[in-house]
Amino acid sequence: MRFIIRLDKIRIILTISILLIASIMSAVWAKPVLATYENSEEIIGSRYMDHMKQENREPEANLPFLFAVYTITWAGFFAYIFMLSRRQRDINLEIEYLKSKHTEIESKSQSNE
Amino acid sequence: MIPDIEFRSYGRWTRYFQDFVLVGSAIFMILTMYMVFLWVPTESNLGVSQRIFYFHVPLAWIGMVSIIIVSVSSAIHLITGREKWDHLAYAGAEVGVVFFTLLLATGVMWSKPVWGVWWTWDAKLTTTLILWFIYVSYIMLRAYGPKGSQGARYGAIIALIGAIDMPIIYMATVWWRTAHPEMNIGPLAESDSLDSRMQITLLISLISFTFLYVYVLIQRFYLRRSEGEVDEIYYKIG
Repeated sequence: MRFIIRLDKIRIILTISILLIASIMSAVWAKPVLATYENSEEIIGSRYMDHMKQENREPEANLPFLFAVYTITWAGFFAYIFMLSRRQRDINLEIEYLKSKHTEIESKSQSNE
Repeated sequence: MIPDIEFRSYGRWTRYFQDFVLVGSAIFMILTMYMVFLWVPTESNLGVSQRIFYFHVPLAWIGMVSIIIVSVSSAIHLITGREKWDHLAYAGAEVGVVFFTLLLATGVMWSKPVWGVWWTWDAKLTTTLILWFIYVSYIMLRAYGPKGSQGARYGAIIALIGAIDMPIIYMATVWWRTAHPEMNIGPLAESDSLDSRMQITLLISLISFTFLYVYVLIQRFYLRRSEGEVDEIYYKIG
């Protein structure tokens, strides 16, 4: 049981680490986006959303929104997985408690007999 | 008198599968990051903010997959009465709510630079918000409503009502004139409406999010089953 709990902890730590690495990488790799944007040869058009008008095409103007989206998404996943790990820990403790209580009652009834 | 305690833990193959999905998600997530920020070209009209697309669309995709899982497992639970389907429906609904919340949040953050407003009562946005409310009500009903099989049946009915909204969301851009763009992927999408590199990046992003979703869903399903078993023991103890 303890081994299983430890494995669960490792999994949760691994998941959170992956999310953390991914969020750091998104922050680090976002920087070259500006450089890519400034290079006109790299910019290609598609018909995607072409009916919309973008009032402000300055890359600096929209970058905070890009960062906000990635931050919100990763923060959301972090929060949810952290919540799941807490619930998992609580339920494991509860199971341990019920099992010990069960053993205790069983041993008492055996001694009475 | 305490009843016999028997807790079912993960099967060995489930654990292997979950580990595989976790590692797969990590690899694809790193690849997604590389492609989104370094590889894919910048869209000419929307500029940098278009890169939100590679997170926003997979979240919507997972939200839709989640609705299918919740509604199908709820229907099977109503027919068979087996608890495991209810646990799957509950897990799917909770994880789906997380993805839908992130979908709405990223949508709000994208609409400001593109449309100039944080929110508009566009058909797709409104129907998505309605679905979010339906699934939040599902979670609230299960948390505060009747327990046991009665609560599961009520929840299943709410889930099936919520499923009606799914095709409406999908077809919203076809049925109504909306601020949302026309479909870029799927059977109803126009061909070559998206650059090939953008399509590949979106595909990789979809795979990584699907892996992440499967991992979290399995975790939540087994947690829900354990919660059910603990509740059952407390109920028997009185």
